[in-house]
Amino acid sequence: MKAGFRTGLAVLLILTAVFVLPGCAAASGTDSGKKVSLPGLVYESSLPLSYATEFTADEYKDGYTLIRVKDKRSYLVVPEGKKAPQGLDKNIVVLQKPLDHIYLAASSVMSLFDALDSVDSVTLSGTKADGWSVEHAKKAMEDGKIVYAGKYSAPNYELLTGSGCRAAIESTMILHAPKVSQMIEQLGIPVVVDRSSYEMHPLGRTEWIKFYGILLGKEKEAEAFFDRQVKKVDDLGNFTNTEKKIAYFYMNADGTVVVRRPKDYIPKMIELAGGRYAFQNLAVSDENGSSVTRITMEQFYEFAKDADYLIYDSTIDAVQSLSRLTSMSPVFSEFRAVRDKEVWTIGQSMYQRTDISADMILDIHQMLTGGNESTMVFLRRLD
Amino acid sequence: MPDYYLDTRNLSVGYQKKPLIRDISIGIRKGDVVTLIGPNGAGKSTILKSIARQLTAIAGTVLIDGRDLQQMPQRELATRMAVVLTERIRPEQMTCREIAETGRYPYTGSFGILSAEDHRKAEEAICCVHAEDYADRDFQTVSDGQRQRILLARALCQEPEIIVLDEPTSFLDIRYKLELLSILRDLAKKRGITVVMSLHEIELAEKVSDMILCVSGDRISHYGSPEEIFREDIIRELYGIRTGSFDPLLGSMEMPKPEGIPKVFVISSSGKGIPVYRFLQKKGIPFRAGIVYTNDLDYRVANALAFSVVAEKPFCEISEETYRKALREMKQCRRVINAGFETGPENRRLGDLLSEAEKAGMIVRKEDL
Amino acid sequence: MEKIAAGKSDAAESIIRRRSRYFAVFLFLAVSVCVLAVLNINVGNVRLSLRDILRIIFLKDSSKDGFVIIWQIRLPRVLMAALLGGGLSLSGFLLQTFFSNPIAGPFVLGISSGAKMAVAVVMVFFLRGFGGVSSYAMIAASFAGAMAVTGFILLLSGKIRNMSALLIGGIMIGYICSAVTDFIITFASDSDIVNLHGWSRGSFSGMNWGNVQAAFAVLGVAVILTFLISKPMGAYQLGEDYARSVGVNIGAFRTMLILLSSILSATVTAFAGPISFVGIAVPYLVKRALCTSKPLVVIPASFLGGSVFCMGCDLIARTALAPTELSISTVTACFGAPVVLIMLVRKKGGR
Repeated sequence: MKAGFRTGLAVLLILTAVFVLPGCAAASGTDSGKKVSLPGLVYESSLPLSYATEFTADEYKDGYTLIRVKDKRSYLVVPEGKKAPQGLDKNIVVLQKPLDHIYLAASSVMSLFDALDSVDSVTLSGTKADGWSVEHAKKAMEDGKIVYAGKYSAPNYELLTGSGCRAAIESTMILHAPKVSQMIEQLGIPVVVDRSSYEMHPLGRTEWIKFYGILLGKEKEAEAFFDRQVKKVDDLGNFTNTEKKIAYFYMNADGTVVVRRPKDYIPKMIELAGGRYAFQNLAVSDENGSSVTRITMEQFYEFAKDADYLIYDSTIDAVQSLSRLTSMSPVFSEFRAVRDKEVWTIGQSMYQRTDISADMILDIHQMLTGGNESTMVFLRRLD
Repeated sequence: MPDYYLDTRNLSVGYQKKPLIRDISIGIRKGDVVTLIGPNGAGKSTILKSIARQLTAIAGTVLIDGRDLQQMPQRELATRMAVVLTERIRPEQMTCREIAETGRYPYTGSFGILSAEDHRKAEEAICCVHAEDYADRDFQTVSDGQRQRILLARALCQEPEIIVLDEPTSFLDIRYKLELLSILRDLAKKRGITVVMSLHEIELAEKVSDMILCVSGDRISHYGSPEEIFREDIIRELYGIRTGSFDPLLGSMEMPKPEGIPKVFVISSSGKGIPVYRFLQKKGIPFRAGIVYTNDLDYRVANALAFSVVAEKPFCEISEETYRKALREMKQCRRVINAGFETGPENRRLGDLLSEAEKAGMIVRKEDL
Repeated sequence: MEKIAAGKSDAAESIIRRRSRYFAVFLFLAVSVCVLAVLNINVGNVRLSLRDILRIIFLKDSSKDGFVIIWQIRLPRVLMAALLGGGLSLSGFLLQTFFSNPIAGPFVLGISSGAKMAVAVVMVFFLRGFGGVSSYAMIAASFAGAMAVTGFILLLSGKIRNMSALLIGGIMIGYICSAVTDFIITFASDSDIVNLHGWSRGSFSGMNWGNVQAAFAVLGVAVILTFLISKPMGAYQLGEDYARSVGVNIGAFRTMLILLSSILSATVTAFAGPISFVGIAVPYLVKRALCTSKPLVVIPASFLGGSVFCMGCDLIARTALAPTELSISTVTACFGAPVVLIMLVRKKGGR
């Protein structure tokens, strides 16, 4: 074999990769058009949404509902006893009611199910019993009513088919493991991807209860619950912003600090509660899909040294005391909030309790106005 | 012009287009044993590898049986030429027989499965190199000498017309050196297989080859029969010998002469002087030797080691002139060693020389020095 | 004369001994394949009776509950474990022949690092832009990345003659790919990182019939080609120079070896992610069991050995901590690493 041939072959292999990679990705991007026609179905009305922007729901005659999500996935909820129309666009996921025996691998959704009193629709969980902060879920797992079926990236397919699972509700993490969602779909189980965490308004996240209300046939209960939550916030009344700065963050093992992006729903919560987000003016690159950003200790100090309050996100690494915080970096002792002993923490429960994000707003409001600490659901002062 | 089996015309060899040896134009007859000699790194391996087409020639042509080596298809070359190389091979878990059988490669089918015929030929090759006893043992468990023979058997399995060997005796003890070379000569003479090899042991090269090729500098310095090549001056120049000497007649090497004014005179004949000469050389004691006939064994070694030699023509009586010279030289030295000698009618005077030494009280034993 | 006769009967005896050894090993492997296949189909979260299983498989009785489980989940999985395990083991054997070095494994040359890098690129950059990536895209990307690294190795092999140096060169390419992957990760979100890590631990989970067909086609062709070069492989075992002297086209042969080995390991990595130790441990065990290095025998034995090894490891990965699955690399390392250590110790102490 001449050397030239070998070199040619080598170059061919390398170039093939260069062209294949973008090709792969491009080929898989789905694009559903603006107007979707459903053969044989008559459009009636659209669901009014106050804060949620990541999905829309259109009601059709005879109880069919088409939900379209911003990630370009569409779901047709078909009433019990009826069938999906013939000639339906292949890209629309059919959810045939009743939707029970659900495999739930999106931990923020359980609380919404709980609010709708539908925890019993779930039989398989992607989180272990002790990972739930929703009491009913925890108990159901301990009682064996809900079984752990493996996390989202490695579910136990046999359990899924064997238990007669009707739908798999996944978080957006599943997009990184397409093989898993493909396999689940091949087993005849439709996959629903929850996008509530992408909502920029905290009440928008709660409004997803209407999404699940449609799936579970509990639209009225969903609406009622949501209205109650909105009222809680409205009851705070029109007050002027306290202009107190709050820094919400956590620290990485490598010393960088992770904060929420200015447009994220947590800064919005702070705003609604009557405070100001310390990193509102942080310049971030426009990157969709990520709700947090990493900054250096210097930048953190610059923005937050004069903040009135520090709220530490203890989901990943629990910080239980002030001394623990200051041990992470000596710079913390310089912070005003630390000197004033206004350091608070929040736990895992917050992310799971999508249903009562309104209560989080109330908590922050309490904190800002020096209210009763014992009534707080999520926040805890560090001492 | 005799028909050459292997003919090179202005062959230049080297690595990466840089010629190491140029303008090699030699002809090798069928059935000849040709040995390349020359210092290390001179290019012997390079030439052999180029002939075997392991290395691409830089310029010139090589003709094998009239056909151009460059143009020959691989399979044909494999059935005409086989090689035995210096590098140790490290095969895993192969018996000697299996190693030999790999030589049947050009003759087996697509999957390399050997036919009964192939097995028979391999057995023949193994017998030819006298390796039947250990043929079925693991290759790694036999000695170097045994391994080389197996590699030769492997080469024979290719049914070659010419075998090229690169220093095949390098790692072997003397027993195996002799065995291998004798097998090669048999192959050449009884089967007409041309043998082209390189050897370090020039004394063996002299004894086993039909033609010698001297590789030196960037050319072939000599190409001829051993009688033509093995002369003291040629070998000395080829190898750049400055210390010691090489005697091409016997194929023996001697350490360098001791320096200085000789103080000892050694009287000997019939080879008895040789151990004394060597003893004195090792002690660094310069000496003179005499009276030695030029056809005596002592003569050749004395020439290499002694300061001077008083010699006489063979089968002649020791002449008066020669006797006086010896006496003079002996008197110049203070001591005399009698290494022992035979006397006959011609060399009576040797005895006279000894008496003179005894009278002068110059006799000593070598141990006393 | 007697000695020669005795020698001849020794030779005949050793041939019989050798043949019976081969037979025994292949029988063992064949039986193991069957046993493990049966175990893998039988064992799982859902209990199915043997009768039901037989009905489902041979009569395609879709009325039974376990139909989907057997046909959609367990059968494709066990077939993939067998196919990919065999491919990986064979890939290792080819590479060990190429480098004349028993610790040359399919991933030592950075093939899996290249695949991981390609997967990282697709995950981090393209997923964001295009919203989602299909599983086929991941497979194709992984394969393309692995083959690109192969291209670089081929370029290197043209320049570097010394085998040890080439091995080091391959390892360096692997490190470069890892470094690039780390760089890409700086742009990655936490979920990307978690998922990439999950991919790189390897898994036979979630295989479907499409995968089985594709793997069978590619591996089948590669195995056939491997058989076709088994003859020059045998000659190459004596070293490059001797192989050349019997008529092997060294350049073409070496390229084929690298190419085939890479296609085999790239296919495995594309479908199941990187799986370690199979390519080094199994060929070694097989060669020791057979007491030979003859390619024509070792090639099928390596393949079967790899199938047995992976099917066994997959069984353990599935059942050890059910319903959580261990990653397949963990289990193969658990069994494979001691074998590799033993191999190294024996080699040093031996000669």
